Amino acid sequence: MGEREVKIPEGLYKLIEEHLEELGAKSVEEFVVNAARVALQETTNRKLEIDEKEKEEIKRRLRELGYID
Amino acid sequence: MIAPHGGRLIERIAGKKEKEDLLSLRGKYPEIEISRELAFEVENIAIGLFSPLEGFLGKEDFHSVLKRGRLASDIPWTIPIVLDVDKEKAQEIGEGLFLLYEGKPIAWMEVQEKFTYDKDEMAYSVYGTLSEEHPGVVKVKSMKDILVGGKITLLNHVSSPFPKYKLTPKETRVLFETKGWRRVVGFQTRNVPHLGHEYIQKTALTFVDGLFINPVIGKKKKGDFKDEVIIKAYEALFKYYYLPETATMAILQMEMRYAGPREAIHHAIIRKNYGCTHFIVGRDHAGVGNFYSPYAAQEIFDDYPDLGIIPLFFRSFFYCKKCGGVVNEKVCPHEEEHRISFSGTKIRALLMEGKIPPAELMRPEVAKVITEFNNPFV
Repeated sequence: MGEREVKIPEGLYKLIEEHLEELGAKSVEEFVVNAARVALQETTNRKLEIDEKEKEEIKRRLRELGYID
Repeated sequence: MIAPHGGRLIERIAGKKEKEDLLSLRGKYPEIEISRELAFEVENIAIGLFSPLEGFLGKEDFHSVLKRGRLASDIPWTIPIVLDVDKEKAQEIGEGLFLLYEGKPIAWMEVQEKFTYDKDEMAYSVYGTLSEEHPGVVKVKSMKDILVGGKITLLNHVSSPFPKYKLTPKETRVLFETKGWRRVVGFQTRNVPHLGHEYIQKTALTFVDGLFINPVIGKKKKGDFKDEVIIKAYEALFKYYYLPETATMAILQMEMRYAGPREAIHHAIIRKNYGCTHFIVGRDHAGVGNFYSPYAAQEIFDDYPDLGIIPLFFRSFFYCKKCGGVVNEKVCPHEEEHRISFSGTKIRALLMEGKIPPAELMRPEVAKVITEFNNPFV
């Protein structure tokens, strides 16, 4: 849970700083961390693959339980 | 279909051969009997409901969750899922451990570490208070002194009084896909439905493809409705007022912690793992007494832009006689005298006397089901 430093262009830093309120962040650091988290959340999530055989077994159970016709 | 939390749906259920192999180790490793609530946690980890957790938290994750509301990997996680044991038992525990429920082995645990912890720190971080009026604080203070972290493998499922309504995240994901629901809103409840609940659910449903209702089955406070009453009440509501094409229900076997904001995030993560894209957060979600401000459980979502599920926030609803329906303060211009609030206390008092609440508060079919129970309360 340590911390690392990264460098960003000064112009970009100032631009973020000027727009903190609209960006919904209290500091440049908070904005950059949140932006990275959102990007990672979208990138690292994988589609769940369930093979057809297992899917059919699940559907059979769902039918027995009355969830699907 | 929305991806599971952390990107991968966890499944830690032993197959036939693995189960036989693990059970053959009995007698060589220590065993501990766990509570029903802990047994639920074990099963919820194993079926992927608590993805990305694969077991009970280790020390680094535990402290990260308390301090930051995130796992050490930075993935949002607000409730410490832990296994507590006493000091004597901890000394016996080595690299593995059998978890027993009602005398039967329900899981094997690969022990990764044992560690001490500060109960006050845990209670304050999760519940925001050290008051012993808070049931969560009382529970933490009664926990045993050592935490054991490590992956679990489920050997036997926990029995349920409602097997018909018990679904795994894998099953709900296939269910939603089969129904053609791309956007699904989850709703958690520990109450019988009144018209305010129905209004919130149907308002949310208007914007998505499907509604997924989860009554929480597990330990409740005195005065709460019994599990079977909640299920029967919802069955009546579904029968008369919902379309099977757009709404369904499954139980969630889990203890309520009453951790307010932190628990709201936990509940949202669970719905994401079920395959929901949206989650309803109402007034004082998972709150108890006056420990949390009415909308604290909504405000906390600002800290989690990377949660990956969309919260739908609702304020208080009431019935307005002049509007002639269920409304809220944003849409109703009429004075207080025309409004009937959905007071749980008031509805409970009427039901306790065997009376049917007015149709403006509760569907008569739902009320009838509840009054058929001799004592509908815990």
